[in-house]
Amino acid sequence: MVNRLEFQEDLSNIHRDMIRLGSMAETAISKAMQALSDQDAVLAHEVIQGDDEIDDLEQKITQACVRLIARQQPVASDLRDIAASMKLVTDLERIADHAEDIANNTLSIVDSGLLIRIPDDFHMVSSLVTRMLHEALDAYVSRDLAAAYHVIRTRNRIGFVGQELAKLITSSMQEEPRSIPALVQLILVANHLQRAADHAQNVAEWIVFHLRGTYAAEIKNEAQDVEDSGQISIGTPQAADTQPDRGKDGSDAGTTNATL
Amino acid sequence: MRKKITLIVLIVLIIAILATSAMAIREARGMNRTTTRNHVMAITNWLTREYTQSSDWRRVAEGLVSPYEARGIPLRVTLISRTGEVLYDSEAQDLGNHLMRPEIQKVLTTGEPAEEIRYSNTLKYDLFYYAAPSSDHEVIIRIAYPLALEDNTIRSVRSHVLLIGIASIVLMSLILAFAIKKVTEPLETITESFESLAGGNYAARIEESHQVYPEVQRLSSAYNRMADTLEEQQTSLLQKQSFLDALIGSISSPLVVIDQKADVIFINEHGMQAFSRYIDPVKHPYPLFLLTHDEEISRHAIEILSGQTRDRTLVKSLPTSEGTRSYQLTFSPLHRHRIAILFHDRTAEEEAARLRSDFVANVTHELRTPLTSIRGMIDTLRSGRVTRQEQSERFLQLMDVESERLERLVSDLLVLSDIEQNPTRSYDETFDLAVLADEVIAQLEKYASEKDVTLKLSESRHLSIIANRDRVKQLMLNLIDNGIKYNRPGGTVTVSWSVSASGAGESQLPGKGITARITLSVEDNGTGIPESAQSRIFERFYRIDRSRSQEPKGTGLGLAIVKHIALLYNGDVSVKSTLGVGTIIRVTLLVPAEEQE
Repeated sequence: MVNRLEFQEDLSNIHRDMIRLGSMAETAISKAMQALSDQDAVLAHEVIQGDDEIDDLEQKITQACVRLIARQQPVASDLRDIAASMKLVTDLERIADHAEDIANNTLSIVDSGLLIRIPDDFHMVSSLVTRMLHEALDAYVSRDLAAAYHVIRTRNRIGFVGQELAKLITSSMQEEPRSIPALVQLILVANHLQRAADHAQNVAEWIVFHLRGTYAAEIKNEAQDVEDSGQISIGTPQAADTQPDRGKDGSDAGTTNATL
Repeated sequence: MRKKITLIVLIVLIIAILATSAMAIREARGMNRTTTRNHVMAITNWLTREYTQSSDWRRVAEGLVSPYEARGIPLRVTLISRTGEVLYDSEAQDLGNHLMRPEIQKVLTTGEPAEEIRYSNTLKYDLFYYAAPSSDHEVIIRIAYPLALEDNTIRSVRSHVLLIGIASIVLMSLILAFAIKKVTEPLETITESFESLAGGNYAARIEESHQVYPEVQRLSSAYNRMADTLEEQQTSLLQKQSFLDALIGSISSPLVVIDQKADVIFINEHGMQAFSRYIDPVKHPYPLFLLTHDEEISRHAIEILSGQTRDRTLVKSLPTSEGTRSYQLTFSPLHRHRIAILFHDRTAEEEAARLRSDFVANVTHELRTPLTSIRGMIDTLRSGRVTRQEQSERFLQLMDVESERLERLVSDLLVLSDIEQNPTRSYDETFDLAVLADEVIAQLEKYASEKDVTLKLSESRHLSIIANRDRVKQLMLNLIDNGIKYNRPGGTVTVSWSVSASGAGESQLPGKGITARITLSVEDNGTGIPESAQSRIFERFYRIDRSRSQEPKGTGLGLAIVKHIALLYNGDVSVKSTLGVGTIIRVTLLVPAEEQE
């Protein structure tokens, strides 16, 4: 019984750290996007420095999970909880990494000395990503399956973000060839945003796994049945339903690279 | 309890009845045996006597046996010689030597009558044997009497006892059931009341007068008193709760309660909205960090709880659903290591304070610039270095321009402060807007011609409105003056207005007609305003670029005054401008108006 109490205590500490990590990733993304739109080098540096803390926290959580498995040998839903946590932590850390990358791109834009206007679509997508993360954390805390499904559906509605943003930037390049060095960085930002959205979707999927014990892919059809409000897309509308799963395994391979 | 009592009482009853019947049967058997023995002894003694006196003893014996046989009692008389030979037997069976029979042996050894109870193998029941010697001791007369007859009596006694026993058990059970019901029924009522109380029904009471037993009555009254107290407390708790709910609901700032781990355990509606976290923390407590994304707040709260700091306030910029806002946090420790945090939104206050200090700094700067140049020129004139008449004349002219600028600045500031301080004097005159426009244009005609700008009024219809004439005149003056000032030579300033229904219906001033939306447009074809500056031109002291302010044309307050006057009449200002083409400034006013022919 003592062991059980100790186990619960350790598990709840992991949950608390996870929530902290999620909040930090959310802040990192919104700060990075703020730095980009204000072309604020100080804020961008802040995001880059903040990433070290996020990395430390990720390592701490992973180690706590491994230690808990080794010492308490959990089974059934407890094991699933820990397994999901280990996957969650990776995706959250990746989101923060993309925030750092966006901050680096911002610094490059600031260094190039070219003042460029950030298209509104960027803000829309970045606010969608932070909202996905925000809602995913809500779902994690309140163990709300419906909220997790909602996040997955939101990602489906965003569609091929990177591609659309890239098209937008390409047309800007033709109009203003002088700004190309800065606009190239903006294309990279679009890519990072799309990957962050993929990781946010993964976060929601791991929350579904954590709560239900089934992979979100299995219930994907279920989720899409509910989806009727259409797809948010930039530029020309595109069918989102036919897209393959992106970044399901948390890797950066796949269609995301093909986008650019 | 009912079952247990019944069981115990029944067991006791059955044991008692069994014991009583056993005793009764034993007693009956003993009495019966004594009677049988006495009876058999009397018959034997009589037969012994008859043996010596009667000649035909055999007949006597048969005479004795026959009435018994008639009654079904197998009485057996045997005459035995001293050698054990059977001389006579009423049943003429088992006629072997009887010498070794115990009763015969006893008689032979003692010479006295003897008795014996023996089980008869042939008859399958006990027999009572009684043997007595004749007076000459030549023969022994023995009588065998069946004890089975005695058992019949006992059996009847036993069945009676059993019957009475069963009857009494049944009777007792009924009485018992009734009595137990009488006792347990009120107890059950009380139990049910307790159960409903536990379920939250504080209104249930027990009828005390219905109770028969004083003990139960006492219990009932105790219950009722307890329920009274509980109900009272519940009511007062509910009152306090609703009072608190109302209080918390009326707080328009986020309010959060956290525990010693800095986990949120309560948040009010405003808090949920401000941080857009709609999780019920009562069900799912979550770290405060999730809400504020700020480590220091949680740390500070824990420090207050552990007594490491006494500072109960903190100022923080936090991300909210409406962007980053500045909050003053007040920590109030509660009992059981909890702490309430009130987030007071200071963003507006800070903004107002910033604007105020900016305004003061701007006013100071604007006042000092002309003063400094006036004083500089006075110093130069005093020093006597300016000798030529035309030079000093030019200095005086410049001083005149600067002091005029000072005067305009002060009067504009007075107008602004008057608008802010006397908003009530807004609707006190009825006047014609067209007449007013003519008046203003006439006033500015000279200035316009100096700048080579044509003034045009594209509206000739008369429109009677109710407003403060001076204010509206100030508004028009500033707008047209602005149009002239930033025009190019040869340009025009066109004044026009349109009237539409405001949708506000009847004016807030009773009896003064329908409130109309008057849109006043002043169009120039001057230099235009850059897009980035368009949203700021109505700010006080804002000038499109600072280099222009080196050669000031106005006070920087003109359009701010326009905006303030428009706001006074629930209106608005907007600007549409294209660089190099011109600017249209539109002002809407919601005032009671009437078109005239």
